Amino acid sequence: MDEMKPVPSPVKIRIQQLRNIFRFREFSIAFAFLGLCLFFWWQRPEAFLKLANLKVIMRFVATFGLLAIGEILVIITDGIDLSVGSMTALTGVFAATLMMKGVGPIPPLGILPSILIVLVFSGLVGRWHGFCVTKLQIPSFIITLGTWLVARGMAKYITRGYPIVFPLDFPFLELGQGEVFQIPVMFVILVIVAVLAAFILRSTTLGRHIYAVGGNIEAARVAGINVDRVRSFCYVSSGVMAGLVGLLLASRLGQGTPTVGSTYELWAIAATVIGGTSLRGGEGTITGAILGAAIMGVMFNGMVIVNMSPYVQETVLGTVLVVAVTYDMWRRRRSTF
Amino acid sequence: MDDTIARVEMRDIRKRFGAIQALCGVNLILKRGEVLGLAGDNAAGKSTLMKVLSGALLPDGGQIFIDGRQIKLGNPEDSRSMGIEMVYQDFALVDNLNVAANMFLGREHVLFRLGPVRLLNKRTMAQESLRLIDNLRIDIDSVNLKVKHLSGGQRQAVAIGRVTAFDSSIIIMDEPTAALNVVAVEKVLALIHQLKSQGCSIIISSHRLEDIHQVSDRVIVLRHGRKVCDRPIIDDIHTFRECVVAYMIGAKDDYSLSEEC
Repeated sequence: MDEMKPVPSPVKIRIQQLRNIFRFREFSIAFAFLGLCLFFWWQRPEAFLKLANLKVIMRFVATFGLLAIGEILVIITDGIDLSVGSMTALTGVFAATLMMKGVGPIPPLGILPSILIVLVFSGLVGRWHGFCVTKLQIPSFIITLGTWLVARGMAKYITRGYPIVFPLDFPFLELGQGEVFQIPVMFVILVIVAVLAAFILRSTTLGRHIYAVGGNIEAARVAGINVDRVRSFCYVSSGVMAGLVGLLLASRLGQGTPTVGSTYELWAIAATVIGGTSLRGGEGTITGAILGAAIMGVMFNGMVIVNMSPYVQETVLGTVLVVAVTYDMWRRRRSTF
Repeated sequence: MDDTIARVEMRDIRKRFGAIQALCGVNLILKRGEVLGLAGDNAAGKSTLMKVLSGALLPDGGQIFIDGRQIKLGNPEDSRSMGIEMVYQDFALVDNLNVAANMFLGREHVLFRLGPVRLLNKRTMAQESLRLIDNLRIDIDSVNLKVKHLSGGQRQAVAIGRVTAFDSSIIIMDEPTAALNVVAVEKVLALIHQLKSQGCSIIISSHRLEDIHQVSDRVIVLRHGRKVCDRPIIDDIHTFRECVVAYMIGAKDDYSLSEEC
């Protein structure tokens, strides 16, 4: 209730501000990330901070970070996109087919047209998800689960199960294997996309409407927001991100493989959740999602360089996920009061 | 402007939901700067009538005039552009956004636009929200607080403050005090007085007759989709309550000569 407000002293305000920094959602995640880095550095000082190893981590973070950016938009609007892992396989195979074999009577296309076609295609798949969720009222879980299977099946069908290999000197491979001033191109792409996405979410009306739709869709509707268009935008973005990652993975591996990216959708969701996103919608930041992806990247890499058994690795990752989410929910409950 | 022309006039409004005639020819006049109470039992047609005026429902028949000009309301946007705003019963706020964001939801101030990209003008919205909150003497520490951290009374205050952000001079409130405790109710009623003194014309529906009595200049009682009473509020609360209840249960009817439907 509207109780009497005591006038806070300046010192109290200062302390409050300090406390707010610690309560700042991303702070604890960044702290955990730094702690992990220090731990692996301490364990393997000669290996962990090596440039080559950092590049491995960056490529890793780029892969899951890009997927997480698309995923988080959908999750904020209280949906989920389970199709992104399979979509990376389908789009990678599709790109390889376009560039190396051609489709039917159409001869192989150039690199840029192929990339464009693949991105438009993945955007259309996202548009299809948006249409099903908004107009046909199908739960996003169901419709994207359908695509999860369909896309994987199509990738296998197109290739008959065999990878389509690019020649070693193929310029397209620069995308996943190239570097700009020692920084992998993939990572540069992640930074650009992340800045763009964070800008949209924080500073534009569209971003605000995305949060509004996730928080209270009816309120958003009566406020005059075109909720269907906002939700569709998120599914399209997620689709395009999956297409982009599909291209990057194909380029990095030097082939379009139908088996690539399996369970990646779950890693992307895990990254957003570690980053403090609520699966109930309305909450989540790009910074958090990227930090979540970074934590996973460092863990994957660190556990390998400290020679941890692969069986133990999965157990540890699962434990980290549960601990992170439990802590976040506890912290959030506390801050509500 | 001419004070004799009604701010809102609804003539012979009819609305049918399947077999149920929710409104059968209701006439309503809202004068400039007036607070009109709308009473009636459940299913008397109060909400339907308000939704018609807010554009959320299309009437089957009847006319609506604003300042003497006949208008056509097809959706909430239409009535909003006529300066009509509705405060929804369930507040219609977004919990995870802050006060300022809720105040301007759907009609954000834009710094500049580049194609589909519209940059939010957060500073102006924060300042404007602060001004509105101060204007209405709403007791909220900061416009950066998320709405989920507010009390019921504060939330309702934000919901009402929201409608004042857009120069809406006709405000419809559906049960604004239903979910509130006693202190919060007092605040909301004070807020309605405040809005009235700023020249707004207000329609308020409520089950709480003492609330209607406290803030309204006139009361309309609906029963079975028909207006049965339309009189200024001059009595004390006890006489008023007895009188309105008599109309609500059908013991009295000022318009019984009009045809049944």
